[in-house]
Amino acid sequence: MSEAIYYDVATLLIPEAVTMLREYEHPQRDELMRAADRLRHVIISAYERARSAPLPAEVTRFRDVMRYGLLSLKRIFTEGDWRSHIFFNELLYEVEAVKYLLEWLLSVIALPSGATLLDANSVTPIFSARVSTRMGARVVLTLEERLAEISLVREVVDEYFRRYGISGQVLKVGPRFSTGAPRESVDCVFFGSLDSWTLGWDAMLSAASMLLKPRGVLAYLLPANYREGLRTLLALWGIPPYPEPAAAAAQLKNMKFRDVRVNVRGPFYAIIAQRR
Amino acid sequence: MSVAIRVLRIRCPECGSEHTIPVTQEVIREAEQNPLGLAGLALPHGDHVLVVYLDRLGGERGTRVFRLLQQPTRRGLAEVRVPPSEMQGLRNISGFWAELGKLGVRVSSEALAPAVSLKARRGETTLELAFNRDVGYQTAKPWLEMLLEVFDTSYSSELRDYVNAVKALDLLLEERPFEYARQVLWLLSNASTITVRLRMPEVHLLREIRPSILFERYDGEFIQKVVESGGSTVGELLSGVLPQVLFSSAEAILALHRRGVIDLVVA
Repeated sequence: MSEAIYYDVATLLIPEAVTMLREYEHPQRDELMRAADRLRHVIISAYERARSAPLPAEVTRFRDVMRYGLLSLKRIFTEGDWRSHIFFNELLYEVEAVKYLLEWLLSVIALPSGATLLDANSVTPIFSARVSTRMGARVVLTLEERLAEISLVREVVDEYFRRYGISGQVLKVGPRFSTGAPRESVDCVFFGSLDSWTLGWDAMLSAASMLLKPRGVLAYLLPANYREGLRTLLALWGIPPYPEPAAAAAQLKNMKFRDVRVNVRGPFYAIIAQRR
Repeated sequence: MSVAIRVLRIRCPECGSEHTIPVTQEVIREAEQNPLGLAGLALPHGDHVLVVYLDRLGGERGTRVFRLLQQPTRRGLAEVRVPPSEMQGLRNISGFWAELGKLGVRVSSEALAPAVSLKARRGETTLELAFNRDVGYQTAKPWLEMLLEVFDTSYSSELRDYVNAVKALDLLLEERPFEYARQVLWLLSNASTITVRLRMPEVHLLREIRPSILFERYDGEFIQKVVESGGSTVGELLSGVLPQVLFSSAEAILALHRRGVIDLVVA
């Protein structure tokens, strides 16, 4: 199956997103509507391609989950209801491509006993739960203030800690780890949630260098939104474009990371690397 | 003294009498802290109690009326005894009594040779718990205060709801207070007054995609039962009598509510 079909599906969701944007006050509404307008021809081409063949089941699930994501945005902005955001995060982890990459990361990460994993901005920390259960790691879940102040987010994080028996703590940090983050003291950093993607690639790299101990492991699950369709769609969540996997790997090597491994699946990719 | 932000006029659907309700900051605060965003005000009159539910903006969100179960006896409160069979299987609590002043009810169970007991009062509610072992004051105190607060803001007329909350507390005593513990107790002590309303497309997505936590860490069969039960009250869903089953079922219902798969509304 060609990965292009995911991008066509993402592109075809943009008109739906625009229709919804008219119903609420999104901070970048005008900008997003202009971007969608520029994509008119891309949308028509995607429509022509998509109607020629039925969608595979995993692409249909991706579309249904992203479509629900659009509804969750509307609910946040119109009703201040974050429950749909929580549910959307959990559904996203059940999209086949994401699930496969998370399992891949879990299978290749090797952590010493009693290691500390830092998970950034995960409002539904399923990866931390798995690492904690399988490897006995201690989890430091960092939440930027904008998330930590939402009582529902605190409840759900607490729920994950209790239900999965995660040992660890939740840390409130400033924007882009400007305050409150531990320095060079964690064995592994994980950026792989919707709310961590809003940080952007450069901020993620600086954070990894600042947080990781020497020989610490970096594990990223990222959207392949360097291609159009997904790029504009994810901009609705304030997620900037990420580099292509090869460029991301090359940059990590230049930053003195070693054993860089990349795995691509559908419109997402995962990277793992070790700090020298 | 609390200053009224606004005043509502409510007619009792049972007897037609008219009541004036001052909406104070305390009421708004209670609604803000409540899992459903509601605060209830009880207005006992005649042989019944009118409960008016207000939202976080002080607007009326429904009323309930219930009759007092028995004629008032002690200090003007109706006496209700909990059968000993209801308290079986508890590990830490041997008995309790609660005076629910707002409802005009005194609920009590027999406590068999308690090792220690703790009592606290808040507003018009008094609660005493008897323990069959010394659980430690520092451990018991926050839980007692939490249950007291929950009882003080609950308006269920079902005795079972209060007993179920005590049963859940018996388990909670072995844990440290957590972020949503109060919600679990509140849901249980109001179970017969709260109805489950299903939300689309969330229910459909839940059935199709089965998010990990809900099916790995909760009873999947119970989750399915809830999402097939639109219109049931929480009390009807909590059919288990074992404290563990009650507690875990209440947590599962709250987990679905936290994800917007269901709404919990006053019946």
